[in-house]
Amino acid sequence: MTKLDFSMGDSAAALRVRLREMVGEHLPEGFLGAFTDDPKDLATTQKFSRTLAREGLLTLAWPREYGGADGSVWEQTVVREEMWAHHEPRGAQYMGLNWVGPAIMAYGTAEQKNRHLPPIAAGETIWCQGFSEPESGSDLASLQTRAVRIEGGWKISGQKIWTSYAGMAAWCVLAARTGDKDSRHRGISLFLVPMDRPGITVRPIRSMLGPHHLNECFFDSVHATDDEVLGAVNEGWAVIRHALAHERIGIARYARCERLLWSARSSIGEEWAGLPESLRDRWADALVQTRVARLLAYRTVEEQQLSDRVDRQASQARIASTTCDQMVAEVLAELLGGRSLLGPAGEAPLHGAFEDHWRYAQAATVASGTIEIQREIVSRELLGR
Amino acid sequence: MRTTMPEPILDFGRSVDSALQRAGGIGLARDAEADYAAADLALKALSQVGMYDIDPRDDLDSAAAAAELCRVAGAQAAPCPVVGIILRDPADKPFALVSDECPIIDHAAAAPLWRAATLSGDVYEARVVQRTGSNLSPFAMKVGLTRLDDEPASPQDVQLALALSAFQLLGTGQQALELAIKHTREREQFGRPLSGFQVIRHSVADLSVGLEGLALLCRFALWQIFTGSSDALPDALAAKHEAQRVVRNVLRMSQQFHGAAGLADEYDISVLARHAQPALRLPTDMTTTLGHLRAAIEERGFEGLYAPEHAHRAALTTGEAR
Ligand SMILES: Cc1cc2nc3c(=O)[nH]c(=O)nc-3n(C[C@H](O)[C@H](O)[C@H](O)COP(=O)(O)OP(=O)(O)OC[C@H]3O[C@@H](n4cnc5c(N)ncnc54)[C@H](O)[C@@H]3O)c2cc1C
Repeated sequence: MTKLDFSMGDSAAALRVRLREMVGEHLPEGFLGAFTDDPKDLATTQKFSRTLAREGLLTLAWPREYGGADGSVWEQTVVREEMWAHHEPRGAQYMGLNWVGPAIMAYGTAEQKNRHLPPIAAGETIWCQGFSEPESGSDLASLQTRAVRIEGGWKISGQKIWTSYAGMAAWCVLAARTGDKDSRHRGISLFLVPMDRPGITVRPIRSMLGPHHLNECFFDSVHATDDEVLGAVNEGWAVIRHALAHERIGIARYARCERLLWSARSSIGEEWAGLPESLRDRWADALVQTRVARLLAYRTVEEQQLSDRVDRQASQARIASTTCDQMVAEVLAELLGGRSLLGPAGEAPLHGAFEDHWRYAQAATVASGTIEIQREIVSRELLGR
Repeated sequence: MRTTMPEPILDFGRSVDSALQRAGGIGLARDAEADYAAADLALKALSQVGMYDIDPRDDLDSAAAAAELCRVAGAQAAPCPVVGIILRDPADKPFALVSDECPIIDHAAAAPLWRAATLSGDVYEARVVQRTGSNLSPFAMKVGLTRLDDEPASPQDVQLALALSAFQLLGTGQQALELAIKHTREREQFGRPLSGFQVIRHSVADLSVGLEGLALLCRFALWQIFTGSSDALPDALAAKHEAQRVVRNVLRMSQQFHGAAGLADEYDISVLARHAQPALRLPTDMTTTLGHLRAAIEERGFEGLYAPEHAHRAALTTGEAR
């Protein structure tokens, strides 16, 4: 009989070692991701993505026919864990790899595939996702950015908000209403538009996630061709669902949490024994919660191989990993005491990784579907509508 | 990777469940309070499905079968010391973890003599002194301890006792949530089922996350006990502590969602909430268990993606790794 077994297998373990070596070799000490004040950090991620691409690791998850390596789900899991644990050195690239590429593979025309997949696979283009609007957040199907048919294509007007990386992106997957005003999910289409097209204005939104993360995008009679529609007209919702399915397992937040909990332990050194026992107890409990979040993620990966319907499991995993992220942020702050307030430029422990973690953890229960919406998904299965 | 119990083990669990249900289900616990003879019915049912043939020390599959039995027994509030019996010694003395300050064993009356151990491994012989007389945990007994000069308790026995008790609590928690789901879908107030209110829906979602996470943590602990490269004490303590934390909360909220009915003995949730107390509080209560867990992690690490190697950990304690 098949026994309980929590190991990922040898190839995944070897991949983990290899990724750690690459991280050690190519990332500067104290690297905290692409979206800092220092433009060198974005450049680091662009370079690192190309290095991964050369090694065949960037599109590990993609099928071979699109230049991927058909990596096993456990190898993909290792990539998610190691990249997030080391502050996502693929920078903004992961959006293209995780869902834009796969959505184009599933719904794109031959021409769209030829045009877009190779640059994504090479780590050369940054994509952004233009879904949310000022009046349409959790209720995405109410979006009102309009695409009107004109001769030779479409004219798009409206506003997007919270668009990650829009200021750096070369391309956008833009969701717009092509059906009548009240058509909800039956009247949405997706467009693949270059961000330098006339009529697009991007305005950065200053936020606790750093200067370059969130943006507003204004679309003023932006022209799009028929060739730029992804999937069928008015059937964009299916593509959005497909995209969200790829985001379902979400970010391996637990990996960074675990790494930082142990880093905090070693950076505190012999003063550890002088900390209140109740605080050290919370540190231990936080380690347990990172394990819980990790195992829930593994279970989702495991079940996804057997069934397409893992909404409940995926949302349960997301609830655990996002709340764990915030719990760990608090424990880290308390372990470091006043030092947790020192910025990267100061004498911050581990170059400010803790302060960075706290800020990002606040977004965990909002980005890509709030925790309340995750609870809706879980309770719908347990209690019915 | 296989994070769920193997199919034959799940089948076994289903047969344990139907045997207990045929014998009277949660009603047995209720009956045993009036007449302890009802407890024998539970023991008989469990013995017929093979409880006495399982030795969880043998291998991972045997431990998994034992764990599944304990989980189902917890779900049915079976009025007998399943964990103790499963871990009995060659002389048929059941095994229990105790605190030496206030030694209490649930269902101690099931055997004249017990083998008992503290979390630190001191071994005792235990015999019943008196009932606790508590309505909260009707079958818990104060025991008297006689220190045995044996070897310290086998670490595997201590770890299995913690893990199996966590499985038993897991079953109790799963049953409690099931009862809450059933009740809130049936009971209507303000013209609609309680299950339509978002406060209840979201709370049920969170409780389910806790229980799913606990189930995985328990199975992970079993796997570590048999395949881990190091001592699995932190894993077993983590499972037990999480069970204490999660199941206490699940019981509380599930009872709350029953309204006043949740307090009435004729409702199963009320019986579960009382009979789970010994497993929730023994051998140490949640906060004390966490203290043990923390000390174990500081000393032995915690299997994961980034736990430092042992040598490095030792250096951490002396401060050399800065
Ligand atoms: C870091 C970050 C990056 C992002 N990147 C992008 C991006 O690249 N592209 C993009 O399109 N969007 C992006 N978003 C937007 C994100 O998808 C939305 O923030 C999210 O869907 C929630 O929408 P909202 O902010 O409008 O909140 P609202 O929907 O207004 O929700 C506000 C509060 O009300 C609660 N609520 C809403 N509906 C219900 C309900 N039915 N029941 C109970 N509670 C409810 C919510 O859970 C939340 O707590 C990003 C957001 C963040 C934080």
